[in-house]
Amino acid sequence: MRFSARGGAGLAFAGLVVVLVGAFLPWLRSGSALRDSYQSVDVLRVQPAPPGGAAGVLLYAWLAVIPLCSVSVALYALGVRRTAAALACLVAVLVAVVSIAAMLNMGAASDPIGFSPIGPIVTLLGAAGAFLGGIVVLRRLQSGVQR
Amino acid sequence: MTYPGSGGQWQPEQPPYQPQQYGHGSWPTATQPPRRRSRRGLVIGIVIAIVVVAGGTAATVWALNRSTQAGSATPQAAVAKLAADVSAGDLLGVQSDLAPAETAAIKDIGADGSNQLKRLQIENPGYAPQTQAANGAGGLSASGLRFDAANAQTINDHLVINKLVGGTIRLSPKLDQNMFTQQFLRSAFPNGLPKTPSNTIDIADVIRRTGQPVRIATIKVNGGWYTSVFYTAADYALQSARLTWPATSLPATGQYTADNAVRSFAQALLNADYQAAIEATDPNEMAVLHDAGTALLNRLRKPTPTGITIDTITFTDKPVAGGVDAVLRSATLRKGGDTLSIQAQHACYAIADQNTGDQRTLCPSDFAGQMQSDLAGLPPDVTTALQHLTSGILTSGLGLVATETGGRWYVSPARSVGELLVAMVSGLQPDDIKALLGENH
Repeated sequence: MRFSARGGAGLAFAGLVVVLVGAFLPWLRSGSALRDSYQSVDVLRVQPAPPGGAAGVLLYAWLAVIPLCSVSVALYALGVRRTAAALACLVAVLVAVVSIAAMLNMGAASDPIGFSPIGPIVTLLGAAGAFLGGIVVLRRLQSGVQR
Repeated sequence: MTYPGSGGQWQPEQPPYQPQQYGHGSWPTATQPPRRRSRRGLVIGIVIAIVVVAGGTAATVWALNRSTQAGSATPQAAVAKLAADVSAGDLLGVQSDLAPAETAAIKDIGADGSNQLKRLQIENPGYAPQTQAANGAGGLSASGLRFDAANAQTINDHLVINKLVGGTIRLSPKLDQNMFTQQFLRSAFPNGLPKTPSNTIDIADVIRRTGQPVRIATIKVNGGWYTSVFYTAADYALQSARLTWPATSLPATGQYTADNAVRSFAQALLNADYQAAIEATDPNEMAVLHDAGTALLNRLRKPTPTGITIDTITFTDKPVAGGVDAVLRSATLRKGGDTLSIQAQHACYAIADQNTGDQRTLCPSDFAGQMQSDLAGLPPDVTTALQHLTSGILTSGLGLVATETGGRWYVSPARSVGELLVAMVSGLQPDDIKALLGENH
């Protein structure tokens, strides 16, 4: 299946929307309480050993996900398509890395604290759509195909 | 993909303008005014961009403003949140319900202790302190917790004692095998892991036994209300001593450096001026001492000053979690006509009486010699382990932890005790654990 630039933009847009939906689904489980990604960041940054290095950077970069998604859509609406598509790809990579890291550290269901699978999985699916859509837009614009 | 423009149609294939072409020299010129349709599309694009960015900003602000670390609006809301979090077994929630300064102190001390356990090969290297705290309190749950809001006792504008009058709390701690190394588990539990019993506390039983509701203190910090472990403990201490919370708090007297804070605290203790000593403690972390200080001081008998004056004192400052550990390097103490000098020398302290010329050195080996005779019946490797335990203090150096609050430095008794315990444990070696667990016998 070959996507046009418009189809790619639609896929990227849908992917970014799914990313945002996923960000507000459960990411962290503590007892029977569930927290979305922003509440999880809020909790993780005040832990005795808050994630350092690249993980620490990603933790704070997460706070920029919604602004970056909205800037990407805004740029597309203004016609700055290459930058919009590149930004969508960047956001997709960022959220994919965090989602995969969360899934790899899921822990056992019997643990009192652990990651919840639903938020990371939905976000990862959204990231895949946003990345593919962004790539399609970039490729089509590069080859001069608009539709 | 569509968006509703004035015509109600999304027209991505007819963008308001085509910046991807501008790079190829097709910028519009004064003689080539943009088409009317493009201008309308541009306006629509700008409006959409503004709406999307504004929406994104608002969503981000909303997402971040739901912080669970900001405290509750009222004392009643604080204890209700605590009850809900305990009922849900939400340990992260419980952690955010506690006063931030207390949580920070407990976490920092716990993190230091965790590092030592890893060094001693008791705790697995990859085990995170937050998981440890969670598992240490794992199995905590509750149901039907009720507070008597009408009879909450307002002590002052930042301290309210809440009355827990009903419900049950269930504790079923479990030993987390992921936390400990297999080697340690084999040594500590040669017959397999023990089953930890669960315990259910019925608040009604507690009230029948003690004659009063369970008292839980909430304090106001930066506009938010939190449950306080330190204030709850102090409240029970005052109750058992038949004292009431004083109407006034002791002020905080900070210093411009960590070393000066430790010096003034030490001098206050030598002078038996406990009020000055309390005033030299951190007003955030030890706020409870400042608030309960007057009642505690009134309870004490008139203390006798030692008469010792600190003439000079120097420290080696070691950064530790949350503050600075001011470790004694040298000091000159005077009492009457006598002058005593203390000087750190590697892992020892040289003590000299400048009047008589007497000198002695206090080293870990002195402890070893003393313990050798005191613990004559113990196996040699156990004696060695105990010697390591005590010599750790001297090897790390004698110090007090100072913390900075509002640009001034204060002494933190809780962190100092924690650092002392860590210093003791730091002298132990992995083989000592085996000896203490009796693996070699």
